[in-house]
Amino acid sequence: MHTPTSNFLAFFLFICGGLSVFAQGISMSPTRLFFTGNPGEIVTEPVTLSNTSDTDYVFNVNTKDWEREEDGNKVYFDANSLKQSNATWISTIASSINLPANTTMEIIVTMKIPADASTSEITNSMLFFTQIGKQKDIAQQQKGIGIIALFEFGLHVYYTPVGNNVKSLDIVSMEELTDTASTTKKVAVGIENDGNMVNDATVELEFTNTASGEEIKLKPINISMLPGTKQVVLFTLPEGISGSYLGVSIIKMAGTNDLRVGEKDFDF
Amino acid sequence: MKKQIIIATLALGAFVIGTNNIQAQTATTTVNITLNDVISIDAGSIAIGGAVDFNYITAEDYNTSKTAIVPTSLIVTSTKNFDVKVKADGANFTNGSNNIPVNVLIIKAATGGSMAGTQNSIVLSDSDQVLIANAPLGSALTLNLDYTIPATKSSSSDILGKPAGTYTQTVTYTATAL
Repeated sequence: MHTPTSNFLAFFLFICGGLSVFAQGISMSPTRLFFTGNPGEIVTEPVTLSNTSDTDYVFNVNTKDWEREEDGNKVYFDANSLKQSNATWISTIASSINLPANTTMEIIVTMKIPADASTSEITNSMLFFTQIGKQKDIAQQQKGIGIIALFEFGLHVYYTPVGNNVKSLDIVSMEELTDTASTTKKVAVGIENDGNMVNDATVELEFTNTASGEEIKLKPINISMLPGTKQVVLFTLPEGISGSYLGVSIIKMAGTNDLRVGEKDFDF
Repeated sequence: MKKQIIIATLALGAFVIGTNNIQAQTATTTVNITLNDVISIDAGSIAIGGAVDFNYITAEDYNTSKTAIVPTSLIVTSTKNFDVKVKADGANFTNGSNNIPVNVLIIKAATGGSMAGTQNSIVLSDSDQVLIANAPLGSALTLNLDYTIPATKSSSSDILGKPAGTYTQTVTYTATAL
């Protein structure tokens, strides 16, 4: 006989079971490592890999350099090929990691800051944990094309010199982009990191119709910028927007109450 | 009687003092909630050891575009905005010494998933290419993928006329915080 209590218990167990199935997988925490220290020092930071599934996984550990293009896309390069690379400074105790089912592992990432490291420039690289395919990860068929899908996490690794503490972004441009092949209007907000730290920020853009007072707030876009870099953040405007508008862009920087505000008149 | 009054007064005094002592023992507890950035891929994702297969048997197979729709190819939880890139681990699907170039395959985000961001259609190569750019953070975000080999490729010498067998290659999906 089903009583309200037993029904509730069944529902509760169903929800708990569902959540536990839902949460199974591989996770990495944190997603970015920020090292600091003086030249010549050895510093460490932990990263935790967790396997809450019922399958064993093996990961290869490798590094690459990367830089961000103006559209925000990260582009990877061979390790130690870029000027601001710190790929050769970092190491882990093993080059491959066995992560058995239902285990959590803390991996210590060690950075040996060279004695001649710059005391003003940030360096960066990406540490990858790449799933290694197992014998059973093979295509199922006998004739045709088989794709074996694997997965990897990329862990940002930054070195910030001790004296770097200026967080600052600047709005350097606000322009409407004209694309004759498309009716979609876009506005590009150009931003420069004129500080000396990695800067996370949210970029907002809103328009006010100068005749009617109508306000249009666009969805904010998150960015992360290295010092000395520029980025162009693209906002797609609503279909059919027409008339004179005052555009206001606001940059909210993480970890500070500082704002950056830019204004420009637009005729759409 | 006098004695009883004294005892009662003492008892009342003890009770009041006791109550005050209990009140004085009230403690405060600081509750700290420590949040760490995390990114995860759910074990239900196809892109964690799964396989996608294309089978060519009949002449029609070679003259038709084939699409494998793979729901929940990726299920990602991330506390920060993130990107997903994709690359082949080599320039060719291989079967012994026989090769089919990986650029016969197109991968694109299909409709129906909960993973937002800028979604791209890519022609597979051994270089990292952006599949999803600046996807907003979220829990158990799903990405459905379409794997397509167009007829223009399957009817070309890239595939047609190659020795029978299974040509395989590993495709790696990379998730990184913004």
